[in-house]
Amino acid sequence: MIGYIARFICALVVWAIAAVVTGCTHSTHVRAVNTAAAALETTAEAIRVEVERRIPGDVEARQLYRQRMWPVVEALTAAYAAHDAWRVLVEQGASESAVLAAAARAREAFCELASVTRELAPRVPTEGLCWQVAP
Amino acid sequence: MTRVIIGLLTAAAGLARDIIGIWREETPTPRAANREPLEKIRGALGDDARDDGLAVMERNIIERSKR
Repeated sequence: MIGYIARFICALVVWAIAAVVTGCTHSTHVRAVNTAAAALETTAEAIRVEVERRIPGDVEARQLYRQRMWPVVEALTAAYAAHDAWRVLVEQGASESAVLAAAARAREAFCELASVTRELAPRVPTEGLCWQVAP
Repeated sequence: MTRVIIGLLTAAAGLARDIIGIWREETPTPRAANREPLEKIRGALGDDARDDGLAVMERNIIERSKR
């Protein structure tokens, strides 16, 4: 009987360790998703300020500016979409590999956004945007 | 002995419930990024920004070919 109790206690200890490890991993992913959301919002807001400040009044120049800035809008939209996909997986408690793959895709989209923004709107700060996604 | 085991199981179940409850309360939820700035950028540039861009490119090509 004492053997059964010892096994039961061992199983409890193993379960507790597994629960703590799973909980810590989940919290790490949640923090990474939220940090990335904040970084994305900051960049998007800086781009908005830059666009609203720079957009010309002249119709022709306005069209050229729109054409020039369109890749930034596309990169920003892609970064939002990738972040959302990653967030949903973390929220659903998806497998570690799926969450990490989504995080890698989001990081790639963020890096692309940083690159395009540096090229087309150099006044917008993008430092760290590429690295804030890594869990 | 059976009573001891039942007591231990009950205590373990209660402890597990408490731990999961505390963990759920303390764990923050992943939040979506605020899309308002993106919508404002789209609004400032115009929803037809891409079409405008293509129209300008097309016009430039036509003008160049005329010369």
